Amino acid sequence: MRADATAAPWPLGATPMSDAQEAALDDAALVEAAIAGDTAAFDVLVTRHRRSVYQVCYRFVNDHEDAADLTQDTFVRAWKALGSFRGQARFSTWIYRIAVNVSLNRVSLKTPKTDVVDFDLVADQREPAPGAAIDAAERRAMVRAAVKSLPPRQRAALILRTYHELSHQEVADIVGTSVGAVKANVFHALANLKKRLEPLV
Amino acid sequence: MTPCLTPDEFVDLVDGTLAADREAHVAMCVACAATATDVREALAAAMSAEVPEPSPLFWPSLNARVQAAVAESAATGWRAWLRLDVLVPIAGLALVVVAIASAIDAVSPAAPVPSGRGIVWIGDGTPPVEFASEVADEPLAAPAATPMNEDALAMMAALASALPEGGWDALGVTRLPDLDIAAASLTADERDALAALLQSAMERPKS
Repeated sequence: MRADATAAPWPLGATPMSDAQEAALDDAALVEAAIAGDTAAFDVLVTRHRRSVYQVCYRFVNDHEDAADLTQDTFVRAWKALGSFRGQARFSTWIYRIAVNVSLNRVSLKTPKTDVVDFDLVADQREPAPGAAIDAAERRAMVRAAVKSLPPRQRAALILRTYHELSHQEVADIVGTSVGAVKANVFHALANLKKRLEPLV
Repeated sequence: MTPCLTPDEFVDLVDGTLAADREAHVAMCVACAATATDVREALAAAMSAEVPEPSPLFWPSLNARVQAAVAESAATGWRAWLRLDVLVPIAGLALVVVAIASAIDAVSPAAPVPSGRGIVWIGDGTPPVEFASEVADEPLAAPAATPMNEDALAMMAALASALPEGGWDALGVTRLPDLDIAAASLTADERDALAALLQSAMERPKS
């Protein structure tokens, strides 16, 4: 995978990698190079994982600008903490953990404890009745709003398990809990989604 | 009839990993069957909600933002360490630590334990740190032969001349025992750097 050519050059003096160089390096090698100060290697890691990190963050906050900020914060924290990454887990799992923590911190700062979905905010007011002829885009918006309204732990478990296809054990490692707790959180998240999307589901 | 499914088991059910005998229970239990339907419907709804794809221009701009933030954090980090109001107290404290270490080193186990006490007072209102012997109120014994390095003397002279009244107070240090020993224990580069640092701090206008 090649970093976007339009990206600004690394300001710290690193030389961009060629396509062949990038392709030859796995995440572990890139992390090792980044720890040694190779910022171009870190740029490749950002490019490889930015979409999945952005999607995790977006599902937490349901807002592009906030998700972009959280994604940036995730990678900056990762850069600062690279020295503590010992390769016990995959880099993707490690970066997810940072993204979840960053997002949970944001959620705990911004979200009231009882977050209720206001479907009036996401549904088209021109529609005659709830559930009637809701187009696909509106339906997706309502579901994302409902996911955002879930309690943070349920949200984290549902997002990682459902959208990023991580195993229960990986989710447990990321969230810092047990497999049983992850499954319970996923179940309650789905039960709450069902209630909140009653007109839709 | 077997017990109803637990939340964990409902998740295993939709994952397709539930044991066959437990799946058989769902087929016979109206309540569990209804819950299983709800869970499957909610999961299907959740799966349908894709994240909107941002503009193609977003991705390179994100890389650029991360790059800029990393560069900024690196610069900020170093700038923070280079701020004199941070470094000077650290240097003062380091000097005190070196002085203490030197004083302790000067007392060999075989030598008589010096009586009296040395007190280092750091900052305002902080209780003095004492390293006292059993017998108090006698002069602190001179350290064993640790020759005063000429460079150290020069540094001390330079510092002393540069220090305004109460200058060590300004650095958060009110008394330095055996400072000459501490200075002598530093390398030439360390002495030069420390002298330059402290003199810069002395010359800094008071805010």
